[in-house]
Amino acid sequence: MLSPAVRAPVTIAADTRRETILIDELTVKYGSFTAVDRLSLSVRAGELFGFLGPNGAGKSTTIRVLIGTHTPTTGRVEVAGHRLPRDFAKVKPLFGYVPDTENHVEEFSGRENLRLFAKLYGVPLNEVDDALARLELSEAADLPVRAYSKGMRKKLLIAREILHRPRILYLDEPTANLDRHSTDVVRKLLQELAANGTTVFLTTHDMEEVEQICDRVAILCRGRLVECDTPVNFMTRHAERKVMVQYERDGVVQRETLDLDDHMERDRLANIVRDESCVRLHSQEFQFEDVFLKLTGQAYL
Amino acid sequence: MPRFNKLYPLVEREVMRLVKNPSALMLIGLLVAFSILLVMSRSDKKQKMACWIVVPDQAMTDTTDHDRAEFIRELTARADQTENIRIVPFSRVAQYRQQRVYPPSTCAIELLELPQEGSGASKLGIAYRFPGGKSEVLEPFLRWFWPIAVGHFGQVTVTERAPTISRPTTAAAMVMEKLQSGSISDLMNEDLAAAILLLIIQFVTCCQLIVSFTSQDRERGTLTALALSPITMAELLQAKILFHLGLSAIGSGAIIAILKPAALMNLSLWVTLMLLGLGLASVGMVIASLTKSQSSASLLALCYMLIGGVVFYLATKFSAFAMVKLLSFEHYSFGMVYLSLQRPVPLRRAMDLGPMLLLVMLWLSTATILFRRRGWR
Repeated sequence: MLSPAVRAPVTIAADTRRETILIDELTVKYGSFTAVDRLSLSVRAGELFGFLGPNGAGKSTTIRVLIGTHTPTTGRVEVAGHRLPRDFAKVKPLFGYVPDTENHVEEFSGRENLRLFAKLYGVPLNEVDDALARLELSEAADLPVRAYSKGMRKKLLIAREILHRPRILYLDEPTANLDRHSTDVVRKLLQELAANGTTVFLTTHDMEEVEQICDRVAILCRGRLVECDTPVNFMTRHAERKVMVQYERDGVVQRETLDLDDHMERDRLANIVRDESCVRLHSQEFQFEDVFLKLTGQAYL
Repeated sequence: MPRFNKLYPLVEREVMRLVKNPSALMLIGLLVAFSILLVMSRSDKKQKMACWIVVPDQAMTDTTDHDRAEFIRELTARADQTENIRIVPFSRVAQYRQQRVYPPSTCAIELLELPQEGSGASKLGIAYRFPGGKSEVLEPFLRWFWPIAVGHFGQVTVTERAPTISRPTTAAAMVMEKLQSGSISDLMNEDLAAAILLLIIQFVTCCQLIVSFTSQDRERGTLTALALSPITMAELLQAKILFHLGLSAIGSGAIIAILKPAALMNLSLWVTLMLLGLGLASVGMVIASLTKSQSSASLLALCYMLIGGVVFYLATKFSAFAMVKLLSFEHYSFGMVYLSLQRPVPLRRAMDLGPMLLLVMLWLSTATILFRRRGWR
């Protein structure tokens, strides 16, 4: 049984003039299993939108519906004003999709891979070098992709998908397998793209990334939308005020974590500070990850 | 309508992939090398041409026609003194589709029983058979045979005519002018080998490689990436089929140029080969669309070839399988390829391409539907 944390489907009030992605009551079923259950949300142009959820929550299925490779069981999906899957051909040139597993032509070099897609999208070939440079792949451009590391392959995917300057960019875990520096490069790039009007729709398990770059976040659990808001609002609404206190009694060091929202624990803290000899006392920072675990973890209880 | 600016990069991609895939190139190279070996072995055999003098079976035992029996006896006696002439009864000559088939590098002088109108008696006729359309190989044997024949009968009925020799220069050649070039083993075996090689190269390039490349593409997700770019599924499919047809044309062209250069300009041969290629490519796309992994797809393609071979074999033995054979486009193509390698195919025979075209279109439609629905995902 679902806990109260997984609420009935939430409909987000949409700014219809600017919305690029509109999902209304989307349901996707695989036989008797419901992967996505009456999901409704909208994403506006130029927004950096995080789509989170534990494994099997229905994130990838939703993306597959959005890119037109999967047909919804029920519900309405509109991308850039076009209905899917009906207007698949019209939507295709408007988006880029970075999947979680790379899908390059292994025998080709990085440059050859990008040149192929540049030709298909009708992009001038000199922009291939620019895309490679943006992802810091210029030096490895002429090496066969099979010689690339996982991180380089991921960056090449991103380079390929930004080549045609898409209006919408879907990314499935874009910074997985990337080193710290490359992660920063990709995050900066995504922020730049969003600033220039590209709608960035990403799934990730990196909560730091969500806090740092996402304008809004939707949390999905068991195919249902749990909540959708800005990371700051999530934190404000769900933050727990706790204090960790360490004190010495009879030569033995004791440690306790106390909830400041609970008046009994608050009194207990006051007693410790007054009566015991405190060694350490500090507040516990509440991270976005804690919000995520709080919301999705309860769903599995 | 296909957009050529989209088709071109897709076909170019397939070409580059092949160039960077040595195993596929090696397979095609091996078939071409095999053709070269076949030609080299043919030139060796040319130096050892033999002649069979084929006589009616009863002439070997019949004692009623003294002259004829005497003639055969003399031929046999003289043949015993030469290394490369044999006297053979008709019953000892192999037959294929009512045509006599001789061993490689053998020409023949056939002595035929011709019934005479109005009487029960028969007359002896002569037909000559020689390989590869080169009648001059018969010349030394005719120089040997004719003096004996004329010595016995004085007059010989000529049964078949040859249009190939225009300027006779010797006495033997003057006789040959009135004869027909016939089918004989060298010609037969080489055509058969060439037809089989062409079928194999069509299967390898159009079916096996398309299955392998397409399922590999799908396994890696490349097909999805391409399908999400602004090209249609039809263009993706067309590019694949175009590339594999082109590849099969190059491979087939090389084999024909090596084995039967005269057939290179034979339109019926190319039409048949292209139809066959299209059919096999469609079968390949169906297999690639139905299977989940590259290994299972390749295995299924191999099974298709083996099952086809077994069905064709069984069809020659059991009539129940004949209907199954008729439902296979490969069945129509083999005869056409074999005939087209020898000479331009008459219109009546070319009508066989009708059912083949129908079957190929059926496969192509199935491949298109399956590829659009699930093959690219």
